[in-house]
Amino acid sequence: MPESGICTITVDGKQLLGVPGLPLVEFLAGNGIDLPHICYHKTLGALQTCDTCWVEVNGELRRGCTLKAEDGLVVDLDGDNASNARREGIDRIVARHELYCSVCENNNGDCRVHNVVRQMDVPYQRYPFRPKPYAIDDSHPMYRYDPDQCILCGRCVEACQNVQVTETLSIDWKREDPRVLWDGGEKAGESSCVSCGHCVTVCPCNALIEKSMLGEAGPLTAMPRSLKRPAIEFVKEIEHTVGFHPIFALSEMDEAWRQSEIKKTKTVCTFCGVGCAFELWTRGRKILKVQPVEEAPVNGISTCIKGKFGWDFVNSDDRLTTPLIRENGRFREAGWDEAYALIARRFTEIRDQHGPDAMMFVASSKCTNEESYLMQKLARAVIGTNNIDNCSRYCQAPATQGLWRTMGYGGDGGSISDLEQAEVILFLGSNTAESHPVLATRLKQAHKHRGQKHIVFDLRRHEMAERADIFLRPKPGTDLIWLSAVSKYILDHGLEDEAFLKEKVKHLEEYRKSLEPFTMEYAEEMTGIAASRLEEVARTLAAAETLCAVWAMGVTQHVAGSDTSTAIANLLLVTGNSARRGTGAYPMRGHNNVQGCSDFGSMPDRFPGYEFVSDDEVRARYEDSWGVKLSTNSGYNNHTLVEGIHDGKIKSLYIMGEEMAIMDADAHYVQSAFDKLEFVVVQDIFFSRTCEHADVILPAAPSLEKEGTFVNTERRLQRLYQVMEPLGNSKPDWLIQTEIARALGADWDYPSPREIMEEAASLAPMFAGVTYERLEGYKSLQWPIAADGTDTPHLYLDGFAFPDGKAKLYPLEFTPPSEQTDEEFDLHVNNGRLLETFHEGNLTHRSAALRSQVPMNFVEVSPQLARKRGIQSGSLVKLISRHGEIQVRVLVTDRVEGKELYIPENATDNIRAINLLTSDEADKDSDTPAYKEIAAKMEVLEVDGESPLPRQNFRFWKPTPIEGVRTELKWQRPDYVQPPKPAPHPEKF
Amino acid sequence: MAEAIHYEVPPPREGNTARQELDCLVENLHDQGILRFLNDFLSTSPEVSQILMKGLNTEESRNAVQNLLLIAIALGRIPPERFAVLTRAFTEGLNKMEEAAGDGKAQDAPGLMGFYRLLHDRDLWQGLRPIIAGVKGFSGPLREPPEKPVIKRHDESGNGKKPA
Repeated sequence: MPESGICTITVDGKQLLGVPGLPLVEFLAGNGIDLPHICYHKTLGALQTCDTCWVEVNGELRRGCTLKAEDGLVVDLDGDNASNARREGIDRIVARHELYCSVCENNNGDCRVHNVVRQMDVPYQRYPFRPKPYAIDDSHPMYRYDPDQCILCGRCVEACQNVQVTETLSIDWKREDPRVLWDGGEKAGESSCVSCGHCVTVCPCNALIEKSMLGEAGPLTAMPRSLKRPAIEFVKEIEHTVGFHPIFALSEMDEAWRQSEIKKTKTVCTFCGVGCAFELWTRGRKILKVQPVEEAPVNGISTCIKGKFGWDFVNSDDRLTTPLIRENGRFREAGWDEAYALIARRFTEIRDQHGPDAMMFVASSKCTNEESYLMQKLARAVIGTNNIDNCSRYCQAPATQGLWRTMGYGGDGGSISDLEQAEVILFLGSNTAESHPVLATRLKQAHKHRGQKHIVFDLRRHEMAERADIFLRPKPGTDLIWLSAVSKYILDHGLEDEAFLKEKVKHLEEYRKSLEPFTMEYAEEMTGIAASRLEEVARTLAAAETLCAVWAMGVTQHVAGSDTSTAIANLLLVTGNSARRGTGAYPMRGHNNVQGCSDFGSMPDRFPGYEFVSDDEVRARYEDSWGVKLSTNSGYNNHTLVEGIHDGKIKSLYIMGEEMAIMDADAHYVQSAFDKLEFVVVQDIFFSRTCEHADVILPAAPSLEKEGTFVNTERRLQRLYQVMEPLGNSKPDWLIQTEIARALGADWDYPSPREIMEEAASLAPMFAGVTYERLEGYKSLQWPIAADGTDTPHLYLDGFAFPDGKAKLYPLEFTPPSEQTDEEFDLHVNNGRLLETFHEGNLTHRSAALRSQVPMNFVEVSPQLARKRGIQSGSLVKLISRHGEIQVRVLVTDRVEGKELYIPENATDNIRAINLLTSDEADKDSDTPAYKEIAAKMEVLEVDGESPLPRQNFRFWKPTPIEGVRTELKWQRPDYVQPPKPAPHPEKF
Repeated sequence: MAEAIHYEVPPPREGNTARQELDCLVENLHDQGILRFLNDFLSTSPEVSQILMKGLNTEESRNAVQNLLLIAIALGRIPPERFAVLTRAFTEGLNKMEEAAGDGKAQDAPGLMGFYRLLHDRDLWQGLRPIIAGVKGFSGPLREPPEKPVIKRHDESGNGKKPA
């Protein structure tokens, strides 16, 4: 971090002002001076490999990227020594990198090599270019490495080792001809590479490039290689005579005309709740690439495999592009007007016949805040029911419940920056590296570079567990016990934050009393974790200056999910780890807008901003605005609606963008309920399993085809912009909802999502200051947001969200899991996400690149169990629970242990989907299904079969962790001499 | 009753990327006025072509086109390194001439003795030698009878017989 204040430095005799501590490159840029540089990158820092930023300080040559601005610094840029050194540096670069810009996919104005050659006015090629003794590496399905174009700047290595922290890439400087390596080998496609795309994003030229760009970026890049190579050689011959200038003039013309057809649009990712924002580069409907930018508030230059490479589903051939109507036992295509008329007629008939509460509305956590707002308004104001919910019911409602009980707000206590700063992170039931990969990179960085301590409690040895300082495996469903035992130990041994408890927390004595049963002995017996290990954890947590807790569905999807979430909050309060920077509770929101969907009112009992429908004053505000009398009846939620249908209470369902038939627990029970409905409307982008039950199917538009806002896991609102027009006859969800409301007689007239947000912000105090202007570009706001636009990156700094400002310790009892293993059902089935897939897979299964990594669903089986049952990777097994059965291939791995199984949730049919095994049991306080409580038995169907994961999948390979680029090894090469001396073999390094 | 029925989404009726590209091209051509120009040109093409051909079919035009092509062919026979030497020498010569013409000093005529001394100036002689050799080389072909350039080039390459 730069020091505060302003400093003055002297550059070529001129005095310049700027922030002290800034790298000289940035300091000069702030003063309008562009010091040539290639390897320096704001996020990656000074790599010192390119040798193009030399300056002179006190007669000594220094690299401008390593110098920090300070008062009195005198820098000579234009002297012969520095100029010659920079020229020698760029001449060496051009000896390694063949300039053929007009036919290069990277000639888009942001190629660092091109730009520096042009900036330094390099007249001709001083050192001849020589091809390297390596072929192009085409083995990775998503990107390509061309050693001939690689300048060995090391940006990719630094990004992989120290930003993403997968630690796959390295440069072997000791080779005769150094090159980038993957796990020490030459094939990117057979390595531990997780395809996050960091390396491609930061590559300053075309050495690493997205395959989606190849042949597509510019008009001349489409020429076949057989033509491109002779064309390059022809121009290179001419270049000997005319030099770079006229050739560069041509390439700049090429760059200019590319700009007219390449559209760069900011969007926000929809594959998890982290909220990565980036530019999508498109030409028409063709997606050229995803380009992250440093100003993105959450992710900067980071992406994961899905965010970087997983968007081709939007152009899938089987997108729904026209309304469908059920008729005579089949679906037929229909026009919008006909579909709307049918919906209006049937909704009206059902409401008139059975009352408004016979209808249920399901909003989508993948859709925007504006669309959530409209869905609850449609249910409440147009139909007159509070039967409205969203899929946070399936994942994080228990976490919200736990935080409402103890701290007041149902959201993350701080920001991702707080997580980065914390001394200790406690992970519970969160496979962060796969479910929230970009957030995990920040924590892996803190762990690797700053020694942040990670304590992981999980059933499964995933990456965060693998890297953790302490990894403990409790018995399934027993987290509340050890959490309470640790809290009790801390209180019993006087390790609590007494001042914090006294000043900011209530109900300590009641809570202390409730902890009496939770002795260490009891905890050891129930969780299977030795008391000594739990005591070690207790002491570590109590001693931490700053502690954050990160949890996900491993905690929440139990019959006592809310209680366990509450126990986490209790522990944080006991140790004083809330309401301060670097502390707090962080339930990881799963879908991109699962936070926002609830925030904007798609819940049965709450309006936008979590105000109660039962509150007369609040309800009156909405009644005034909407001009209707609102119902106070309690509504069904996503889980209870199934029972409501079976009981004959719910007759009609309108589902927007949710695959409920597969993703709600006990899928057979859900599907048989849907069979009973009188009228079903499903709005989606693909024909899902849920669509099979529909009477009317409305083709919607995915996020890339519409505008709006999302809220990420840290309560951050961000805008997404329309990248391309809706495909075919499909429409954005907000427009469909508006037109349905109009068909039902409402006077809705929203011209765009902006006006919807204006209305929501005018009604919900939590979003009072939200405007599209304040969210322009990469600007963002974290709720609650005051009318003047002041937002809240850190909750509770001015007190907890209760009338007296004090947090509440909440006494708890242990509730055992609903499903227990026994002699017959002897296996516990855990389940969750995979890095390469999203939810059930309706989107990611349609991405060729993603599907190449995980072609099918599978069950992870421990080596011990595999031996015992005589099975191996590829064996086909039938898993039978008390509620249903599925057939899946086996993957033998030590990520699971003993009789513990793990099944990813990525399946869209009744043969493989995990929810054929789950029960209808749910969290007693929030109705979130107990997805994680499954007992099953296994039948072996086939012993031999193909492994469900291809051998190129990253899970089979071993990374090569190092500290970074190791530029010093380059300098130690016998053929390296420091510029401006001429290099004997510049093409080699 | 909403019993489940399956539906196969039909594939898109047209592979529309090429069509979109074409539409885009037509739009751009229209926006830039090129379509209008081309339409105008095509609708009057017989007349315009006649005017064009009439203009091109004069002896001066034919000579100009042929001479430009000859220059291009000659340039193609000179290796770039040699041509670079020539262009550098030519530029340098021009610079010197410009200097001499522009120095503004009155220069006395050399007179007989001066001319005699110039004849013994070794540097001057070294400088004049290539020019004299060039003049000799230049005057040789000038004495040859005029021929169609293509025949000359063809014969010199040894690929065919000189026609009778």
